[in-house]
Amino acid sequence: MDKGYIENGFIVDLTNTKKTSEIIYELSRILDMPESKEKHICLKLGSVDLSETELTSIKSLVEVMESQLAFISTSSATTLESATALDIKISEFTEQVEAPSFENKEEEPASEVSNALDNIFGDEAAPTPIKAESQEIHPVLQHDEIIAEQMVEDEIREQNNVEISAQKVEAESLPTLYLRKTIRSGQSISSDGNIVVIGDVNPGSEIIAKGDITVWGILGGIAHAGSDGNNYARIRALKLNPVQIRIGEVFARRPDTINLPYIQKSSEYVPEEAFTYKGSIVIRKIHEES
Amino acid sequence: MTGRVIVITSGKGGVGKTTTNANIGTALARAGNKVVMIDTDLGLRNLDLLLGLENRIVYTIVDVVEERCKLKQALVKDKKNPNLCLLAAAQTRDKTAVTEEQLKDICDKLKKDFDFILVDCPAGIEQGFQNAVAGASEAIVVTTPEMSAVRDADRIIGLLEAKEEIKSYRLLINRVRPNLIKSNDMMSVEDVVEILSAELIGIIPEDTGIITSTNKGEPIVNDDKSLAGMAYRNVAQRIMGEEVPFLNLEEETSVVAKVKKFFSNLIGKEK
Repeated sequence: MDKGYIENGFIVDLTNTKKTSEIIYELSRILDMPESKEKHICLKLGSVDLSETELTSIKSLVEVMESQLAFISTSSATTLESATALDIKISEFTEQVEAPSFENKEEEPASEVSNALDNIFGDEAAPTPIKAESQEIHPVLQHDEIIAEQMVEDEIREQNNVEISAQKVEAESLPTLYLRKTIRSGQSISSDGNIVVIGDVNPGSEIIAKGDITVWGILGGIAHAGSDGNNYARIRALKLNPVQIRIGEVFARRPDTINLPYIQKSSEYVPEEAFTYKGSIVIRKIHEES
Repeated sequence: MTGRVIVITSGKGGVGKTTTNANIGTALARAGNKVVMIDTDLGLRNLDLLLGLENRIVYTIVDVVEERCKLKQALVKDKKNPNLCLLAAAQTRDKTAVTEEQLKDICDKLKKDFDFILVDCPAGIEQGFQNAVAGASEAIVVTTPEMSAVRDADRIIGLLEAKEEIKSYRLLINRVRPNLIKSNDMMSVEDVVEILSAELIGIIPEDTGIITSTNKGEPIVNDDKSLAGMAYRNVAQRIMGEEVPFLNLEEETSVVAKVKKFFSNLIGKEK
C-alpha cells in the first residue's frame, strides 16, 4: 500500500481495489496504525463505483478512526456524483500538476492524475531503495521538481536510503534457509539468516529469522524478522495476514477490526511487504511499477 | 496377509473420530474385508458403545498388554458382521497403561490376520496420540468446517508429517452443512482443503440420524437410506482404492428443492 506523506496527512492508494468491501478492509487496516490518527486523508479510489451510502460509511469509518477525509480522487462517475452530493472535496492536486480536468474526460485524465499524485506524494516518500532508484528513470519526473520540496520530508528519505542500503547488504550476506512446504500450527522455524518459504505459513506457527522473511503463500502465523534487533529487516508474502509481526524491536499485531480467521485463496494476490518506518510497521503492496 | 494399519485422528475432540471409525470399519467389513478396530482412548472409551458391543467386552487392550489374556481372546466379534472385531480400551485405566512399543507390537500381530486395522485415536496430542500413531502407516485426519477444528487438524498434520512411519494422510471433513455454506456462514469444503493442503478422502454431511444411531449402537452405514451412511460407504470404497465421486450435497439436502423437482418433473410429464 502506497502511503506517501503530505503535510499533515497522507494518501491512501486504493486504485487496485475492485469492491467496496476491499476498500473498507484496506482502509481500516491502514487507519488502525497509531501513526494514522488525527490526519487528513486523501483517498485514491480508482474505478470503483460508490453510492452515496457507501461513501458516507467510508467517511464515517475515517472519522471513527480519529482522522479526516480531506479529499478523494476517482475515475468513476458514480463516485464523483456521490462525493459531490456529500460535499467531499475532489482531489485539489489536479490543478497543481496541471493535469487536464477529469470531469470532462473520465478514463484517461484520471489515470494521469493518479500518476502525477504518485510522483508527488506516493513514490517520493516511500522509504524503499528500490523505489528511489526507479524514480530516477521515471518519465514524468518534472512534476517532482516543481512540488517535491514543499511536500517531501527530504531528510528522512535520505537518512533511510543510506541506512537501508547498508542493511540491504547485510541481509544479502546472510545465509538463507529455503523451505518448500506448508508450515503448520505448532511448528517453529528459526534461522540465523533469511528464511524463504514456498508454501503457506499457517496460523499457530512461528517463523523467526535474523534476516528477511519471504513467504510465497499466505503468511498467517507469527513472523519475526531481524530477530537480533535489526529494524531494517523485511517480511514479504503473497498475502500478509499474520497474527503478530515483529521486525527487529518493533512489534505489531493484527487489528481487531479485521480479525479474519482465514484468508480465502485467490489467484489475484498482490504481494505485500512489511517494513519499519518511524518506529512502527508499515505494510504496502508491491506493485509492478515499483 | 499383511493388513493396513490406519489411524483415525483429529486433534480436537468432538469432531467425530469415533463415529468415523465405527462407520468406516463397518463399511469395510460389509464390503468383505476382515477388519479390526482398536480403541486407544483408554479411560474414555466410546467405540464399543457406537457398535453396541459394550456388554460383550471381557478383556481389554490393557489385559492383552499385561498378559492376562491372549490377543485373540480380547477381540470382540460384531453382532452382525463376523468379519468385524473390536479390541476395546480399558475404562478404568489411563493412557500410560500402554506404551508405543506395545501398541506397535499388537498392530504387527493383527496385521497377519486382518485386512484393515483401524486405530481410534484419543483427542489431544499427548501420550494417547503418540500411542495410537505408533503402529500405523496411514492416517485419516477428521475435521469439521470450523476454524478451531481446522487449526487443530493443521497441528496434527504437522505432527504426522514428522513421523516417518506415516506414509500417507488424508482428510475427512465431517458435519458439513451445505445450506450454511451456501449462505456463507460456514467454511466451504474447498476452503478447508486449501488451508490444510491435504488430499480429501470424504465429505460427510451433518445428519441427525447419527445421534439416534449412536444411541442405538448401530452404525449409520447400515442404514441404506441415510446420506451420511452413503458418504461413509464411499469413504470405505476410496480406502479400498476405488474411485468414487464425492456426493453432491447441495442437491440432496433441501427438502423444498426436492419437492420442487418432483413437481417440475410431474408437470413436465403431463405436457
